[in-house]
Amino acid sequence: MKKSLLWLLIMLITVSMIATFSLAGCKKEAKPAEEAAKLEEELAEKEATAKELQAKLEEAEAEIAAEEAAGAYDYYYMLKEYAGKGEPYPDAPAADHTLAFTDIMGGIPFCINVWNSVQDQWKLAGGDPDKLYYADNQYDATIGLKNADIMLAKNPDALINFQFDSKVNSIISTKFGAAGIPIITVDVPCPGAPFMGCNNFKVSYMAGERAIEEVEKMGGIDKLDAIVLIQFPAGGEVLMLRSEGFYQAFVDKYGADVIDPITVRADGGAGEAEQANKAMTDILSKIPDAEYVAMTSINEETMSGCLAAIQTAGRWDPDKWFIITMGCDDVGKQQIRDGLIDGAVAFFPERYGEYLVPASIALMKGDVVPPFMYVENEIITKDNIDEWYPE
Amino acid sequence: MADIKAVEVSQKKNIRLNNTAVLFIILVVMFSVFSYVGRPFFFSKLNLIPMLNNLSFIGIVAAVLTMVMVSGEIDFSIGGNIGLTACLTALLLSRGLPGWLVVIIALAGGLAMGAFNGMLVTVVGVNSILATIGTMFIWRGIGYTLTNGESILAMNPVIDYIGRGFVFKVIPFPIVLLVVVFVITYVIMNLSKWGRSIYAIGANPLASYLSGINVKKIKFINFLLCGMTAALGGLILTSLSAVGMPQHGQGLELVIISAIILGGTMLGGGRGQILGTLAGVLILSVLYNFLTIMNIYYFYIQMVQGSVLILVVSAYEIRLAMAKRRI
Repeated sequence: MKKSLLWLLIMLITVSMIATFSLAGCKKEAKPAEEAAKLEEELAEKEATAKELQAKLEEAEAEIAAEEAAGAYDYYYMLKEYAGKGEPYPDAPAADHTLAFTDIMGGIPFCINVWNSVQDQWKLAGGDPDKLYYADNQYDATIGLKNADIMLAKNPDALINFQFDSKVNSIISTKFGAAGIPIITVDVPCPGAPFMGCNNFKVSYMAGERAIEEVEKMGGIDKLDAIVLIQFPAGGEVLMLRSEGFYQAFVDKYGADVIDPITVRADGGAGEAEQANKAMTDILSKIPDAEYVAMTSINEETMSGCLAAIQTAGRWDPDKWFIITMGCDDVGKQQIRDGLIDGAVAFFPERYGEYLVPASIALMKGDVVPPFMYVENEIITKDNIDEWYPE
Repeated sequence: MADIKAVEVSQKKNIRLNNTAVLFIILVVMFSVFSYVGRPFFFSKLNLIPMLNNLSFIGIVAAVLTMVMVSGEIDFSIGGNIGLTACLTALLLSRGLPGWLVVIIALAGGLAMGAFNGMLVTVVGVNSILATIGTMFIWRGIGYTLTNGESILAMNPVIDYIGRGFVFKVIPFPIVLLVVVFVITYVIMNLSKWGRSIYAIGANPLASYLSGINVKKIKFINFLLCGMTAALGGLILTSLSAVGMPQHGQGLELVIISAIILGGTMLGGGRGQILGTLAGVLILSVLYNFLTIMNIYYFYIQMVQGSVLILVVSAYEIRLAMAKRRI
């Protein structure tokens, strides 16, 4: 009797589990016509949202320009000028202040460069190194929240928040807002906080345009067999733009009907060469006949794994692979010098501190800073790498 | 012969008690030193309350997982369970379901995941390490499928209260949940027949079976409860972050199992204390909190946490060996 009751319980639970998952995740089977209509509707909705966003962006840019003209950001720009020259800031404005920095993932070259530049600039601003607090979020929202709480307990005068999920940032923003501590967010938006970093879509679009130049030199889109996007969906929507802009540049040039059938997307992880290697190996078996390929990935660590997979498969030919990466960190520079990639969009992480520290100080002093502080980007290739990064 | 065994068991029980006491002494010493060295930040309400809040879901899962581990099994799928529960919660909220219903569904989902693990281990006979590593990937995979890998906002008064609410406007609700779960598991493990059966099963499943204990039933129920508390952990984490994402809980299984082992639970089963687990969870959390306050890089924090785990577990083994020699 007990046994049958137990089985009944198991059955009930299993059925409820299946029902729950079906309710939440499964989609109704749609007929092709219905599906097409739905797709069109979704597309129209997306276009409307994009237009709305564009309008908002233009409005914000106009506002920034007006405020700039009125001299609202003068203090920030003055400090930034000293930061850019690598000179001590006038009157040591960071003395007696505290600044917290939560890093997205310490230990990878990009983040090491950002952190080093923040430390250098803090010293230039007259800040005490012991009053510059650091925590590593380890690309983990749970750790990110824990670190934010610890930083909050240390009551800094400002927080530089580098955390991978924009929605989790809303909680961080609420907590710091309640404590009256200003935040500057890096690369990932945070509600109510000025944004500093790269415009992911723009840099990726730049990479796409550069790849198109190569494709045109090679003989046009008809010759291109595949466009490979090594992405990191778990990194959130903003990080997805870092590769989707590449795709969009091709679509804008040649049309979606040409580009969609040859585009392949894969999850290459956050920057682990092993995962990227595996993803690339799978892609290569999906496109066994592809010779001419344009490719990008979210960073150079990921690309290292992909390159190894291509070489292992015996399909490496530098004249037929058009690869533009993101970041141009130490790994990327080496890849460019070795002729493994055609170029990298440089984010100049070693200059992030030039924006972050002046902005933090301005906020500590009760001044305002521009809502968007985009780092200037450049495409680094074998032809200009020594100009930017002399050996 | 029976007398000698009884002496051995009683001796081991003394060692367990002593180990737990030693852990709490270590914790008190650590706390005192950290309060002094980490002043004025460490020993402040602003630091301690969020620290306890942030360890609540780890502690809740660890308490029930201790029961599973004492019975000689393990559940690696807790992290995946937390992730899937977080996704499910956020998804159902985004579809307009009321918060209380979402909580019930999430806990039922946790029960279902626990039941599935329990079935695999007790009915099919799969080793619990293999079974739960498998389900860990399945739960996380479902989480990614449901959300497309994206995070979903999970704002709702009921869900908000679970992780961020206060009882009598003073005590954070997750801490109340933590205390309740620890009290219940303590009573079960130390004062009930069920708890004694769990220890017996872990020490010798065959002898337990022959002496009339329903080994499979007890193990199954342990998995069931573990699944449900992991789901509760998922709900708390969702509330704390206001977001459901499949990455929630990633790697937490190792943190939780480390805390349990640090608390004196033996991987092979038969030995372990709920209070030891509490001490293990607190030691790891206090250590992380203090080292982060002191601006220590994460790599060093990991090294320190790993070293503490090895040191403490080695100390257990040495003390056990010495005690055996004395007998």
